[in-house]
Amino acid sequence: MKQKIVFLMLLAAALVFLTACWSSHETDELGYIILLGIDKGERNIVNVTFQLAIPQPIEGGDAEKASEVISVEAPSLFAALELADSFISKHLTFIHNKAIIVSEEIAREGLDRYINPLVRSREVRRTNFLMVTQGKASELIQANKTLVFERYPSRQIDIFMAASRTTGLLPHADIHRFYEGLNSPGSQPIAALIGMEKKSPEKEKEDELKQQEQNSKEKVEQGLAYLPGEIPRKGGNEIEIIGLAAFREDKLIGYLNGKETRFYQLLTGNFVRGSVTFPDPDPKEAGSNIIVAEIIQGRKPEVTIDLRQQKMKIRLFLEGEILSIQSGENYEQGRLRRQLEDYVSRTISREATRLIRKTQEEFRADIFGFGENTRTDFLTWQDWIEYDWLSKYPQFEVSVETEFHVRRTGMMMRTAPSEQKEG
Amino acid sequence: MANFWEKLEEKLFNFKNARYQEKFILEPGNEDKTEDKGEGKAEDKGEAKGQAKGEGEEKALDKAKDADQDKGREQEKDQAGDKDKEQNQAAAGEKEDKERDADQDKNKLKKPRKPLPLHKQKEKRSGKPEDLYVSMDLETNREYLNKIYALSKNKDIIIRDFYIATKPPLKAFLIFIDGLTDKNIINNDILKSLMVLIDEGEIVEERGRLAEYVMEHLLPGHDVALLDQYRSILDLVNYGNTAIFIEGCDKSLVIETKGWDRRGVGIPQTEEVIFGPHEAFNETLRSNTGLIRKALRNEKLITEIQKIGSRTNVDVAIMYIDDLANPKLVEEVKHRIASIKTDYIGVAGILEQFIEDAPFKLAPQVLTTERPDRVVSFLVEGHVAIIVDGSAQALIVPVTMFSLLHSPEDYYLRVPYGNFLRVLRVLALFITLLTPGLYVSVVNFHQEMIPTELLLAIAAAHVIVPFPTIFELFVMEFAFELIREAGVRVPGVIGNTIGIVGALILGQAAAQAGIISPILIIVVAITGLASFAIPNYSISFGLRFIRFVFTILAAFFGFFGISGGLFLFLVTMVSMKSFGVPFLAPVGPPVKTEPDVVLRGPVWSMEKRVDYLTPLDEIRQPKISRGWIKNTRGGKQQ
Repeated sequence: MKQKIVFLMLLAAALVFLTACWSSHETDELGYIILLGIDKGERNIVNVTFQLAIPQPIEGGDAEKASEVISVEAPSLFAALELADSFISKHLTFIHNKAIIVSEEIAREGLDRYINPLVRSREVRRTNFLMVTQGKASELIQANKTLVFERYPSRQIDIFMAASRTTGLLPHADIHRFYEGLNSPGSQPIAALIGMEKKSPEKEKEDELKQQEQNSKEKVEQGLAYLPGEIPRKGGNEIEIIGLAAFREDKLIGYLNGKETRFYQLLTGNFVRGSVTFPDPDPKEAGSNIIVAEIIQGRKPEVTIDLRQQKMKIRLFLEGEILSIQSGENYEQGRLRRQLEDYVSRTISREATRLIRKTQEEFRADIFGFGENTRTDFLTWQDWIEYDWLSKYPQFEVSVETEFHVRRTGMMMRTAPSEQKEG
Repeated sequence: MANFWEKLEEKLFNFKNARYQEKFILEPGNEDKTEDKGEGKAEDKGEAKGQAKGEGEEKALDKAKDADQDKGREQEKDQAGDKDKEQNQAAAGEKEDKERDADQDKNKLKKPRKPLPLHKQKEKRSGKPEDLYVSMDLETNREYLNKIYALSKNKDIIIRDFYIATKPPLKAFLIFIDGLTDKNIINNDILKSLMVLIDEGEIVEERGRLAEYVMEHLLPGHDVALLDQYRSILDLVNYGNTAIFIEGCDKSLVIETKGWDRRGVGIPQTEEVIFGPHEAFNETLRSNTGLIRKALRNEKLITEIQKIGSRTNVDVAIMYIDDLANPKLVEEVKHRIASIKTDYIGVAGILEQFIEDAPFKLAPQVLTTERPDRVVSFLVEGHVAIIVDGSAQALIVPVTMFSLLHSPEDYYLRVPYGNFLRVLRVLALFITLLTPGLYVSVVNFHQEMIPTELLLAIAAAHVIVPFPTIFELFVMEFAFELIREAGVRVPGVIGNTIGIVGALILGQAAAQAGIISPILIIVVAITGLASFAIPNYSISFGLRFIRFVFTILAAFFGFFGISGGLFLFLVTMVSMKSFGVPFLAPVGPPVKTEPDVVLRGPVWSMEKRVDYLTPLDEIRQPKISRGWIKNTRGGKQQ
């Protein structure tokens, strides 16, 4: 009996000493990486950039000191992490990493080799956002050091990415989505786009020229078609997250701008709501007046694919609320309302079709994941893989139908024309 | 229980046997006596001490009697035949006594009042109060008392000599303990009526029934007993009664004159409520039982009294409703209390430790309350209440964990409010138990679990602290427990100051000095606050203790340790029993119950009593308990 007790106690002790608190770390021993940037290395294979959050006192913390950016060149990601440990007095960890930023250069070469260890790692969450920058990731992260609204970059990224639900200008692209697209025979991966505000004088001139050339209608139609760094603005953070990077397999194939990204979101059913600006339905007024409507996706789009005839039909179901009617026409009611609904439907269908064509002809990549819907046409997985959807996708004939209904007209029942007096 | 009876009978048999043999060995002259005789004596003895013994034993004796009924009759005859023999022996015994007490009057002893039974003779020689009987001779009695109470040393025991103003005057004295008795009663009601108020011509002739005569005719007093055994007289005198010894009487008159200084009915100290009665028990048994009877006006409410503690001789009242409480439960409670052999049980808390099932488990298996209304609510459920004289708390058995987490106020408030309190309390339970552990494991092992900003805030607060989190936590928890303990022990006047100094200044200063991180103070404070929200002091203690176990587990193993700890905790809880009732009933094991476990239903929906007690009357109220409701089904609101 006594022996038994001693044995059990030893067993319990072993439990304590074998597992125990070796993996225990105090909160201030760890260095929390918030942003991870990957560039091509100059002296070694990769140049890895970390933005670390530096804990600030609860009272009177300084946002400028709240983060630190370091870059290390190393043969691999985790080698860089360990190298960094030798000059940062913290044990670096990915557990609170928010986003991974990859330079265009690397993305065009193929991302698989970089994403794989991240997906495999215990520390990195698959909810990490994946972004591609046209320039260098290290420069971009360095620029992000001065935060305007937040103390820590972590909150900043969270809020940025929440915009994919409120504006639809950027996709909700995390590494899980990327990995899924990478391995699925029915879709191709995507990533979000990030960039720095371009401050060069040449660019400004270029923009000015462009703007002068366009008339009002074109401007409106062009809408939010910006890539990062192109947004005409002053002030605010130096970084911009807008648009989408399309991949074929693991290689970057092209970009979608903000406007296109919206239609991408609509077609994948991820669009929640966002206000869209249209030129006035009346061709006479189109140059001068606009209509703004908040578009809400009523339900997921219906995708019907006919494999025999190679036809693809997509139906979008949208609802909306009118935000602004400049012309003073009473589009809220009756015939005019139906006319407006028609107009919006047509516009959206046209734009959506144009986007799909772009992915078919330019990218030759099904980034929407339409292919996932064809699974039901095959009896076995092997049949599906053999069919090779991704290579056949560009040949499909596409038609987009949109059902749009104005559900609400804002706080006005009808447009009351303003009194106009000849002065 | 059946097992219990068998054991009891077996014991009784051994007991009888032992007495029989003892007699044989000690009294070699009695060898010729029959076996029947021996058994008869044992029965006599049993009956004489019947009061002190448990009811169970008496019943067992009855059984034994039934079996031996025929023999018993024969034995009576035998007894008559043997009377002469016995008388001789008795006389011999008395003679020995006389030799010891030289000043005794020999004439008085020539006529012994009755033949002393054999065992009495033998016992008389020992000089213990158990064996002494009131003598007809006043001086002998005085001598006995002198010896028993050591009157030369014992100064608060008072003997007052007086003459009862009859014709002829009767010499008498009374004995009482100063401080325990009401002097007004002794002066006005006893002494005055015996010395002054008697008619001059009052002649007492019935010398044999002298004591009875005094009791029946002369002595006013609501509670007078005639006793001849010193043990029982002393028990009463020690408890504030007054005993009168009269010349020529072989019995003593014991009059109830209790009247010591005592605390009145106060307000509850540990179980305060906002709505509800503000009465609490005090230290006097009778006033406590009275408080319960006042609220439970039912002749079926039984108050059984047992004495415990060989030196303190404290009364313990066992209260239950006769036609409601499960008889086996009542029997078990009485059996447990009767079986206790110890010298001192003065407080309910000590009795609790003697009767609980699992002394080393961290949850109490007896509910301690100071509220009469709480006791009543349990009595009408079919529970048994135990009240110890001198203790301002009542014990209630059996008890489940859920009733430990209820507060009487839950029932006094309307359903939504009551349930709000219940939910709050369940949260408080988990906060008390787990918060420090969760904090340590999140901060040391699972940093990814919390929002980045919170983690950074914690890290920022910890940067200047030189100790590991677990050490910090223990320092702070220790300080908190110190404040708590000190708050109880310090004199009331500065008690509040201790709280303020401890909680505010210490915490603030420790954080500023960089010894403790401010977030940790929040954790400790919330834990402490939550532990105060647990209504039962005992289980709150248990939780306070267990939370340290969880903290250590968390410091070693993180969440894995906590979940392991929770598992073990639950296993121990499930395996516990309180007087035969599983501690987690009605959840584990699941039994039928009315909606009153974690949340409670409306009072009119609780139609049956709890199932795990199997009360004699299961129905608490009919299906339609609100007679005024119309157009509804089953009295329940649609």
